[in-house]
Amino acid sequence: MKKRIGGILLLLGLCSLLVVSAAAGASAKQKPRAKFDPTCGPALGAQRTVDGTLGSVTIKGTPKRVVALEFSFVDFLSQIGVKPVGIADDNDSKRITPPVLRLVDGYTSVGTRAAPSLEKISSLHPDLIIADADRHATILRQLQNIAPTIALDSLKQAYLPNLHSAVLVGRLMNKCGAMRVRVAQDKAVMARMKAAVLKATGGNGEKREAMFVVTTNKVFNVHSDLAYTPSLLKAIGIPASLVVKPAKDANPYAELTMESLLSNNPGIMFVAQNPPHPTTDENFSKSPLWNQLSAVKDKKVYYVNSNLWSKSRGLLAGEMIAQQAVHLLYHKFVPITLPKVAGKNT
Amino acid sequence: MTAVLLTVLFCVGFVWSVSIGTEPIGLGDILHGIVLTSSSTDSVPQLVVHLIRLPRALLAAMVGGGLAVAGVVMQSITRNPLGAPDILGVSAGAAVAVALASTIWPGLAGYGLIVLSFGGAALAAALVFGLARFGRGGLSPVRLALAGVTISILLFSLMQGILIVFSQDPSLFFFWLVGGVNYAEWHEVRTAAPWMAIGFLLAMLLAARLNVLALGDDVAKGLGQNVGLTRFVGSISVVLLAGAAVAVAGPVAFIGLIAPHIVRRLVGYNHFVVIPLSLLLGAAMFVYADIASRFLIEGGETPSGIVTALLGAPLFILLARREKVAS
Repeated sequence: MKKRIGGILLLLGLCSLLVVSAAAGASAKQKPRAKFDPTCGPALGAQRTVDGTLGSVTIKGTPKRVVALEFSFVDFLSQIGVKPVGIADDNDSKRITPPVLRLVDGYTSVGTRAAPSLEKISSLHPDLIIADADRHATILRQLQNIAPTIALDSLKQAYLPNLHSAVLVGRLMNKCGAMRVRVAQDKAVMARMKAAVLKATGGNGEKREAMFVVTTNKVFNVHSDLAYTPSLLKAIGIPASLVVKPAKDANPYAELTMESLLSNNPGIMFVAQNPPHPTTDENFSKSPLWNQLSAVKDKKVYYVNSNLWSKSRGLLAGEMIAQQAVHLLYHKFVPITLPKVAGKNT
Repeated sequence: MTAVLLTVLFCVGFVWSVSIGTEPIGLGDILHGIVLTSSSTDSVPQLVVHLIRLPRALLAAMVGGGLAVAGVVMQSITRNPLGAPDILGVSAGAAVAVALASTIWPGLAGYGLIVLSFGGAALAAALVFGLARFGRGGLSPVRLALAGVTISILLFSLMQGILIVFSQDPSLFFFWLVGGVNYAEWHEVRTAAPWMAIGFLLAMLLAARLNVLALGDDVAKGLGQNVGLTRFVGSISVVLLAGAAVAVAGPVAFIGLIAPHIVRRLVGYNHFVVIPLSLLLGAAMFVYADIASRFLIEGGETPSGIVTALLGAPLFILLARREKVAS
């Protein structure tokens, strides 16, 4: 009997715990979320905490010596008037898109993006390091030992997550307002590109699917709609030919052979060749099967700059890609003039 | 009997390999595509079979068979069960040469690349033998295996260094590093075939000598065999077979080690039988590995070498365990 009473009491206790925790959960849900602040507000304060992809970082004052480990971050910084002191430029400044390079000239190279030199970074005495959440996840700790480090999305990320990274870079640099203005301008420029596509296709929209591929002498690496460039083209109304189901850890790139390329049969191809030659697309083009591709039959195969199209992922760089795509496909030149956008330009 | 079974296994794999792909193609077109002598037809399915699937299956068979025969010869001339081009540094040597050529000396393809690959393979082999002989104790099997593994690691690090420093995008090169025949073309089949044929013939010519050598150096010398010559010609055969395989398919792992062991277990130690059957089994193994690799990622390619490594490692452990129990 005692045992039974004990059991009932235990059951009651558990029930009451459940009820209490459910109530707590409900009250937590009812608690109003911190409102998204379009004017940056407290973000402009002396001390800010910014949430990166792999954890947050707290910054005091305005960083003066920034090291950027991906080209997209260099692009973002250049667009709000910041010159990074160090850049992982793969030991080749030509890899930075020329108009961006002009804005950041005078930086120090800290080696390759894949394996930046911690020693060189450290010798620059940075007060902020911006790293890639995918590429630099394994060296994040070492970077944090050198300076406050934030890991943001760039590599393997689509157009929109990259815009989000831009906003975060703005907050970090105490130039939240300026970056918001620049991102709004980016959206306006892209809207203009989209309108140009719509107009050029007689209001029907682009029906052909475009493939963006990076080739070396070993692989034919196709970027799917989850990757930056095809998602950007999609944003201006040019559909992607390789569609990958979005999933956690989904690989946005795929290696295709001539046969799978033929099955995919894109209407448009943008090819970024990485020397040494002959690259796989050059080998493919010797096959009579190459001529069976719709893009080849319609003469819609375009060779584009691999540094801009496959490595940059920035604001200005993205606008340049869109501009080139519209120009190549429809012979329409849409200038990248930044429209006036309401907002604090600070 | 084993020969018939292996032949059937290989033929089924070959036909299977040619009949699957992203485009569904009927049996008639497949057969037409296989017997097509030139690319003069307008039929796209036949062209797909002839220009893409057939060289891929052929190259897989050649690379697998070549590595397996190289493995037999290496195991015999080194009298070492761990002898294989990928363990004794030969594949790594060839791979470094190919990586160097592709990054620093662009434009080099076909015969030039293969010859360079031979050079790398030969140099690595010489280095491994030199290192194993160095010091007291001479050329024991364990020392040789250790020297091979050491040199392999050194060469692979060197190659990765070359790729990181000189390659435009190293991540794209890692696809090749695993090894595979995903982008096989006829010209690769044509460039590699004669060298591999010579390598195979040399191995067959050595079969009688390898049978005697299996009894030990002293017995072989006592029977009047020039052991040094046997080793030298055997090394040439290995360099030709493994060098050509790496030049066209990258450093494919484990086939050279596993296939000869399985064949010996099945048919014994007569090299007149072991060499051709290893060729068949190695060919079949890589053809099936290549088929399996196509199912790993939907819609994209995976290097076929991943499968040989994935299946090879446990198979090797199984073999090694059995060996221990038997001894």
